[in-house]
Amino acid sequence: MVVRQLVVIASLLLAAVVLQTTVLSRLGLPGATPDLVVVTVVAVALALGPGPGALTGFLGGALLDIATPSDAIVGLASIVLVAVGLAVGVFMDREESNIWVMSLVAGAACGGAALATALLSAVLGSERIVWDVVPGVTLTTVLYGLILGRVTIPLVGVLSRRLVPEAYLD
Amino acid sequence: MPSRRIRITIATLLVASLTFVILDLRGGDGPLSSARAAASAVVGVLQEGVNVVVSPFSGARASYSTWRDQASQIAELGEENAKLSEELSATLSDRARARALDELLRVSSTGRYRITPAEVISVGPAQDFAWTVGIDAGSLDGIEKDMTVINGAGLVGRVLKVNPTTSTVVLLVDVSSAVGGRVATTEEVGIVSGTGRQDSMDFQLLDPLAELVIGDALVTFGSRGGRPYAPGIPIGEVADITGSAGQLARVATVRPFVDVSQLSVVGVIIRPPRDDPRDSVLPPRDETPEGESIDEGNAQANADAGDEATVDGEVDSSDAGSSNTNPAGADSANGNEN
Repeated sequence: MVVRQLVVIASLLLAAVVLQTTVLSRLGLPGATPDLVVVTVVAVALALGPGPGALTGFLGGALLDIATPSDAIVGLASIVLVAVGLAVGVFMDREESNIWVMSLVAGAACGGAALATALLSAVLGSERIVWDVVPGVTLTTVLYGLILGRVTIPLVGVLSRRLVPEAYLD
Repeated sequence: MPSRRIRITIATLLVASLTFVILDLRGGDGPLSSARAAASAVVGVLQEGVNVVVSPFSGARASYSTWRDQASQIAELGEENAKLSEELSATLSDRARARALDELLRVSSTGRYRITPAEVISVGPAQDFAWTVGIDAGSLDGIEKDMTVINGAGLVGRVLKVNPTTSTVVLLVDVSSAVGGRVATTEEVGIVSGTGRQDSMDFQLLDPLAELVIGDALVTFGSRGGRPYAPGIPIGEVADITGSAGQLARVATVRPFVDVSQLSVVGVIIRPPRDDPRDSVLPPRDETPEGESIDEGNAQANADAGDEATVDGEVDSSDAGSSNTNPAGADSANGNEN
């Protein structure tokens, strides 16, 4: 059922955005902030496929850009995360069972999203990008994404199997 | 290749995203601002809730690990110990918060700023390269756009966006931030602009011939009507100078007094003082003689005096116990000064 799927996706995203802005960004970790929203998009795309993955990316990006502390260009994160959700959903096999391969995909998605966001916002005229920090930020976000993926992907998998079982019928 | 339905979905989502981008870049109060208010209302409540739950525990990490060692040996005692130290760290975190509020009150009363206290509840991700934080006060608390935000150490930033119950603050180290600064004890003014790095800002003097010495403190010059910046707020101290007097490309590196990675209690200046408080808000620099020195030797002495002054500042706040936002930053207010 589409509505139930939407509710699950929306709750996951709300939890991810709140955790990312309150807890993860204040841990004071070196480099990037652990990108739970990207990892959630990857997890949903792995569990439910490219369509729901892209939708999650769109909603997650929009929420991230308009929720309180953000001053990014609204819509940029949506574009990047739609691409992430689509690519993961299309290119990853749903039957993939090795959790570390999936976590690696989450890490790579975080790195790709960070780079793409930096490039796109520079193209659109943002003066904020500090280029000599970008490599460090990208590397650390890959690492944090890998770790978060190891926890988040199985969790989202179990949740979606239980809450939207009809998506697994085919 | 994805099915036709998925392709249509993707196309729709991308068109919607691009519409957002165009609306946002066009500027002004479009439909995005109401979407923002709605999102902030929902997310803000959750952020506040999480903040209340998390802040006592973030200071409890050290005591928790000692508890875990003991637990294997004496489970019961360990449990009790954990409970007690949790209570203790809650007390410590309360005390640290009280200390931060005290500092804030000292600054606001010395400078006669009328402030509304607020707490930082959310921080923007580092990969956005935007130094912005969310606070738990909004238009219902009298916050308006472009008000100055301070804490016990000095200038934090200015209010960028206001929602009913939350606001977004852009920090002084953000690239978009430019503050009119004045060298303390002199009349020399210039522009302090953020570089996107948390521990350095650029300071460009308007008069290229003016004397500037490492260790000089900067205070805000003050904008018309006190917005976006009220006068007399400590900004930071000069850490490095490139180029010599008279050169056009003479830029000083300024280290902010405020540690932007450790913000908890802040104050929003609702009304600026009637008179410029001049240098009175700056932490005391007792050894420094009156008037700025000119020659190299004195300059060095001055810098040393400046260093000592900051050390004093640290001793003042070092017994604050563990900070409530991060156990590593026990002296959050002055931790940036070495």
